[in-house]
Amino acid sequence: MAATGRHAGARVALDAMGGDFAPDATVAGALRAHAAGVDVVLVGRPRDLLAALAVAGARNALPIVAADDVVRMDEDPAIALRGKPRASIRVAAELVAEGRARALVSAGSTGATLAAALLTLGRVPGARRPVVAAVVPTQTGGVVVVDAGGSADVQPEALPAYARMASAYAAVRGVERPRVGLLNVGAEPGKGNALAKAAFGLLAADDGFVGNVEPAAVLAGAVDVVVTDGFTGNVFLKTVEAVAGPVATRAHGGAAVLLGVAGEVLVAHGAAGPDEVAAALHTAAEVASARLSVRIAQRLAASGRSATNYVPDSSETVVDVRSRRDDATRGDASGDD
Amino acid sequence: MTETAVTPDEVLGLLVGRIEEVLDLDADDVGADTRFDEDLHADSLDLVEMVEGVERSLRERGVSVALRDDELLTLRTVGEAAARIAAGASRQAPS
Repeated sequence: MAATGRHAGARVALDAMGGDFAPDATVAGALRAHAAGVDVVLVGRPRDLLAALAVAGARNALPIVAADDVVRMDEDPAIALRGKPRASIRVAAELVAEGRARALVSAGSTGATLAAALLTLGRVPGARRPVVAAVVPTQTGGVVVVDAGGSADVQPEALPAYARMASAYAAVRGVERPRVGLLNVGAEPGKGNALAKAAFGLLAADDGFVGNVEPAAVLAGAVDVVVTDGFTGNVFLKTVEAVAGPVATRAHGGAAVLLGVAGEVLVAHGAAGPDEVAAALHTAAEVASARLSVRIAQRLAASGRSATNYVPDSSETVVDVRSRRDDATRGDASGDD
Repeated sequence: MTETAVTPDEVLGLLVGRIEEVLDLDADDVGADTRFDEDLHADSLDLVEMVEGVERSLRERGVSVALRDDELLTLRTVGEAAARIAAGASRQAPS
């Protein structure tokens, strides 16, 4: 996505304390994006950020919003955020909630970013659990992989909403009528495990659904969206990275997008360097300008209350409600990113 | 506290509504005896989302709540959560 200079109104809040190489890499990436026309605000410890700006020879080049706390990797994200209202990721999310920024980017823990997004921005109606959408380069462009690592264990009923949310993202990326495939070990109907077989039936009537796709077809560009559970999606992504090199996927948009949050939230790789941070900020400005979360809400509303979860029928017990939970490992599958 | 800021039943109503929203369940499936862990499989983020939502609703009604993190993590049932929140609630001084 070419974003340079086209997003003057879409200010992006960067959690400048998040990531393995923060704040030096985040500040350097922000400066690059800023030079290319992205409006960025840094969120974090002023002393650290001013020092990083000084090292880069760019004192006063970017606005700073002070946030003195950080969520450590060894903390439970939700509990930590509750006790740390001034954590950089939460303050950055609040800037979006208050309309002072239009998107949020963090290279910190995916779990903390997801928690801050949900606690501060809330969810799109009908989206039970936000999912992680990553763009993988293909021979013909790029494919949106969803779920790329949000919820490892899902019920098949969740996948149609994934497809709709990811189709909205593909549309924002310029695909007019996104083709949706179900990641599988064979193209014929009836292939796969129980989840894939059930999901196939649920997706069959959906607009744009082309059926099962094997990884080779995905990488050849057969579809614009590929849907799967967060475990399989994360294995797929990491396999592509292992074979093609991490740069191939990281450079393609620089960040994964959380779909289903009521705001634009992007997660950059934990090991993101300045180039990846800059690319993530460009992508953030792009999805903010396109109001992706609003488009997702419209798509889910248009598809009715099928959303991400199975709707209980009255004959079922609470035990069945439990078995439907699709999020046993929310955030865990991508916990190292 | 000389007067009750909010009753456990009032909190229960708010909490059930919040659970419905956060977990995308029908309210009919949730009652005071519903267990967060065994019945709802709620994790810490679910719990924080639910409780912060209730705290926000109460704040809008001039009631402040301070549920400690260690209390939050040991909540077993929806009814117990409502009782603890109500017990820790107090009227905010008018500003």
